[in-house]
Amino acid sequence: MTSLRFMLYQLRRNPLSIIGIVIILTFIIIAIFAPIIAPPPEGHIDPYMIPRDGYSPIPKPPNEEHLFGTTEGQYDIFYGVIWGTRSAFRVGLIVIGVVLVVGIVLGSLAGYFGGIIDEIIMRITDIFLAFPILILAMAITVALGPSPDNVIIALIIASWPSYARLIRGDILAVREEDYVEAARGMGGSHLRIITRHILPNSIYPTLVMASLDIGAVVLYAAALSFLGLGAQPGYVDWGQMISFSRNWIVGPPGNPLAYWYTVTIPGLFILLFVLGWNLLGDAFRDILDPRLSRK
Amino acid sequence: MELRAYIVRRLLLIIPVLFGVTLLIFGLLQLFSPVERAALYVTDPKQFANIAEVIEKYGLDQPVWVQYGHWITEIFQGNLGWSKVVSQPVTSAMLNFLPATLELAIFATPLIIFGGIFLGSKAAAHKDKAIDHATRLGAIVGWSLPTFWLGLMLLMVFYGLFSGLFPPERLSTEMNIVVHSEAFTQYTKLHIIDAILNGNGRVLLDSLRHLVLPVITLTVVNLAFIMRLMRSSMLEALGKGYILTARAKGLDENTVVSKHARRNALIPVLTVSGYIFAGLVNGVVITETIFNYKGLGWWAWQSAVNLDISGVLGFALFNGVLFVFTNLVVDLLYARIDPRVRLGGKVT
Amino acid sequence: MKPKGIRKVCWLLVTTLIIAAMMLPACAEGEEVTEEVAEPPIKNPTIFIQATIGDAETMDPAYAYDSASNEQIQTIYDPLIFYDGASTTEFVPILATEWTISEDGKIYRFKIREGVKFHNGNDLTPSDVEYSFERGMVQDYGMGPQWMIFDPLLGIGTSSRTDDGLIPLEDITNAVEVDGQWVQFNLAAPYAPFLQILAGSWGSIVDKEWCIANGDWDGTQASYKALNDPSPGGSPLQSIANGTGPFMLERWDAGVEISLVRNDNYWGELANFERFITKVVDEWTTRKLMLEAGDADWVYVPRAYYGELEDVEGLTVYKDLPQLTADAFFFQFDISPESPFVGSGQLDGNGIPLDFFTDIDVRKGFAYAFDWETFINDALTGEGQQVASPVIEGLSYYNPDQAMYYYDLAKAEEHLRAAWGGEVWEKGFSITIAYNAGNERRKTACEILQAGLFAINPEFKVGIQVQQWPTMLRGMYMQLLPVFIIGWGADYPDPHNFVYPYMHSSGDFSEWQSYSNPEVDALIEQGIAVVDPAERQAIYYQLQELYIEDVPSFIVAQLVGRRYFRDWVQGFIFNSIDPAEIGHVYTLSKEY
Repeated sequence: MTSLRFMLYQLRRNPLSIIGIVIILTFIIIAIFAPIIAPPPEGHIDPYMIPRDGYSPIPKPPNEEHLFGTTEGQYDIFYGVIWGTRSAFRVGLIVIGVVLVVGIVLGSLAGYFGGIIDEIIMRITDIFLAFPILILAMAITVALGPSPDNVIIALIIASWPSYARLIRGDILAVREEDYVEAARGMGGSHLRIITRHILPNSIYPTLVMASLDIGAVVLYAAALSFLGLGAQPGYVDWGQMISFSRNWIVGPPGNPLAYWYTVTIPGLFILLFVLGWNLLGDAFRDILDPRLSRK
Repeated sequence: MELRAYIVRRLLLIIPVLFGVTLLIFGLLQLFSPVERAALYVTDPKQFANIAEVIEKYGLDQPVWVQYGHWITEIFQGNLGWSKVVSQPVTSAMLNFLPATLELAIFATPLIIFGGIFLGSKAAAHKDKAIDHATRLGAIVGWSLPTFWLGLMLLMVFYGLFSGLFPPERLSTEMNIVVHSEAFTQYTKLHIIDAILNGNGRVLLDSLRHLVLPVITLTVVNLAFIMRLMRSSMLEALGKGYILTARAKGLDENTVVSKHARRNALIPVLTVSGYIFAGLVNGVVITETIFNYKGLGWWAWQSAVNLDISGVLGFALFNGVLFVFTNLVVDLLYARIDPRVRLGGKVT
Repeated sequence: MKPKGIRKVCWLLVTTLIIAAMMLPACAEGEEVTEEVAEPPIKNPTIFIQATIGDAETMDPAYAYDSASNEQIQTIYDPLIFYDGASTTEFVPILATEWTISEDGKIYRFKIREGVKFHNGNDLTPSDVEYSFERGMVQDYGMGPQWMIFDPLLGIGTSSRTDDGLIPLEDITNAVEVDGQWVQFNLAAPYAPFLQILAGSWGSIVDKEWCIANGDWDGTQASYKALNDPSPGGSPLQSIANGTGPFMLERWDAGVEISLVRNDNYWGELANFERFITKVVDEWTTRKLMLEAGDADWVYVPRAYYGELEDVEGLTVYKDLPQLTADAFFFQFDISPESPFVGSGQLDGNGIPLDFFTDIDVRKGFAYAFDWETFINDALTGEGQQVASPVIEGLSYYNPDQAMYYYDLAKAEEHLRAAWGGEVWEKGFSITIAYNAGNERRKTACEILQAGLFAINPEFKVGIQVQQWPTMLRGMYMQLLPVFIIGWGADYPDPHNFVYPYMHSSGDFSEWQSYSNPEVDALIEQGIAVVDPAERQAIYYQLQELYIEDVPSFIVAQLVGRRYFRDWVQGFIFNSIDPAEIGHVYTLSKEY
């Protein structure tokens, strides 16, 4: 496996991945210190609902009280994007975490045991893979009712099959390797063989995909919110904030960029967040992919 | 013979998959209570007075399997139901909205695949040079862009700022009338092809102009996927022994890259074409919605948002069939390019 | 795959797109040079183009019950009579040249215009008129508009379906009779708004011969049975049309656009446009840009975005148009024990008892806690007005001087202190109110009510729940929602169409609420059956007073709307009952 020094060396050689790490670290800090950076106003019950300053549908530009201005319906943009970092991590990490576990369990079962188990699991993934993720997630959110938790459930249901499939494929590749045979010969239990010998040698492509997918999952969640299938209005969610800005893309004639802040700021937050994970995932790929290392 | 058996087997596999798809969607539908499902027929509370009648008429309070039985029988008779959002049978909705989406795909797919391959191999050939970083960064930013945001921004600039340069929709009003006039025969309903067949340059230009923004939106977001894959598989290929040999023989770098490395690097790219298809469908939903480009994606979105279950199911079935066929074709191609792969060895 | 080939294809595509992009603006500029006037040239001078949201559901006049369909149908088909300009009580003859009403208000006779032809060339006859109404009642789509025909002709609350099967065909055919050039309607009881009903799109006259040829009702019992209550889209006239109106259906790309062409054989003056095109454009930004570019002559503008068009040049705006629709907060008098929105279900500070709202002081307290001014000025940007009762402005017998509730926390406190023998005040309550997903306006109203109650007593805890449309409907129907906000839009411009759903014990909303007041019921039944305007006025004034006294619900606001046209569009007439926001396209023209 790669040594720490080699990792650091690779990272140094690749300025893009450093940018990625910086971006993600910044977002982690923002998420942790959200209550300090953007404290909820007094008497505000649920910090995950953006405080409103009035009810007017017309956005207001940045001012002293509202650092980034307000969206339509007077939701504070600064508060929304800061706390939205938490929802983004929440969606990304929960979905990818659960999907990884489900994928690893089902993928290992299918790949390791093969036969009828493999056939059944793979046919089930076929059914799910017949839907593009966004479409299936749309259908599930519609059926469950729009809420942040249901978006997470929908994305988990829609995205586990590709993980199960990927892990199965990688396990198939190492299943017949000598060291696995050896472990089997020594009478190791199936669980032990899978967790000790097979997974450590086959999980890296999946981890790389997972780090890249955290960004993708956040994009899907944002798209769902944008399409009107996400959180309820006012929930701290970047996608929804863009949907608030959707109708304010072009300002009045003579001043087409009058409402730039409603569009640009939440858009930039999503972009940077996803970008960070993608850069990081890329760096991981370069480092962890044993076929590429130390060429 | 082997090939035919393989194809037959793959086609047979479509049946359980589609059966599963119907079960999945029907299962989702059961998350609604009978009253809620009856309410799906209602757009205004004043229509709700007859709700008990509706429940009885459509048997919404019957046991699940009875309802599923009714429903699947209808499907076998070719009746996919009524798509409420577009007021027509689901089958005719699919036929009506397919050409628009096809037109988008015809332009976007080659741009995505060839553009991705080209940029990916360029980046790999100059690994860690400026061109590598620039293309990678560009692609990653593209990949990270929310499609809906990009689309709205493009619309703002090219329809708002440069008033009317690249308008939304499929055709201008004027050309739409031409297309639907008697003098213009709609052979395929793909405006571009029809325009060429009719020899009508204005319709051709008009529809091209309407395609620019949606095609760009779709391409930017999906290009990165191929590009990155191409880059890494190209890097892998460039590290192989035969490349070293070729270099040692003194072949110039261009020949090495394009003749030897790229061909081998293409194989993994080809195997993920299925994912490109999925990416396109995802992208098409949002792109068509934003540009008011009425195709299958727009219809799917409308169906989902308005809880038009027949529409969602029809779209999913259609997708399922298409997806399975795409994968079949990809696997066949795969076998052709890489002679080491033997058909039937692996069923994905 | 040769790399050279790949590159070639790429370049070919890119260049094609670029060339296309460059050539088109050039063409467009060429056209503009020809005219050098201060005003921009009128785009598409012979076509009226509108961009709206939501497509028509059907072209069948008997089935259509959504304004998008009604709009198209009333352009393709003609009714017997239609509203005179902006009036909702005066009528002009269309396919009927004259009409009489018997003294007892039970017999309406119409003389049918001669020499009128349907789009397919068939002549209009009185039997077409008879057929049109009978066919509608025979079809009687369960979620359609036919109740409006049944109510006057066969009695309030009737339909073609009873528990014992279909009503006899004779009941239907006896209701409308031909007498020479006249057609006679036999009403079950006097029904004051009958003329208004006839002016709606459900009063359109269809061609009997053509209908039968297309598989519609042929007069037999068998066909009555087969065609009654069709499934969605199951009417033979679903997507075809053949009327006598000023425009003919040319093409309906469902979900995309509807194109109508001028009827050059129209019996009256010809329409000003060769074509009338309705595009379905969901995205507001796109619609706005279409309007600014002149590609559309009128677009649907959601009220939140009125401000965006304030300074746009080249537009004509019509403001302060009262809409015949009113949202209200409804109280549930008999909450279902299954309701998840009542907390503990007891008056212990963590919930409410199921009969919480039977105490009038609770209802009054809630009404005084709603801040109308903030709601109308902020959420509606001033585009609304407070009204006392469901008899809103624009309906006959609207009483502008009716006293109403206002935002007064002291009064709210007074009532809530008195409620439930002071227990409410002492212990507080916890309740969840609901609105339907996607309706930001209703959400804001809920928040304002929440804030008002919280300000009186921090123990008054109101949660807000967003619900998808079917879930919300179920919640109302199953009496799960203690308080819900929803609205009613007019079918015809008569107060009966509003007091009935809001106040009658079997009204659409009040029945769900389990609200019942025998005095109110009696007045409503009397109001529809008397003909004398003075008598009706007294009744409806009294109902408005009773609504305020009883507070079964309270009206949040009556919306006032705007219409934005290109400035080259002339001839807009606002009639509050018109299903089309542009008014009738027949009256419009494009000129400076």
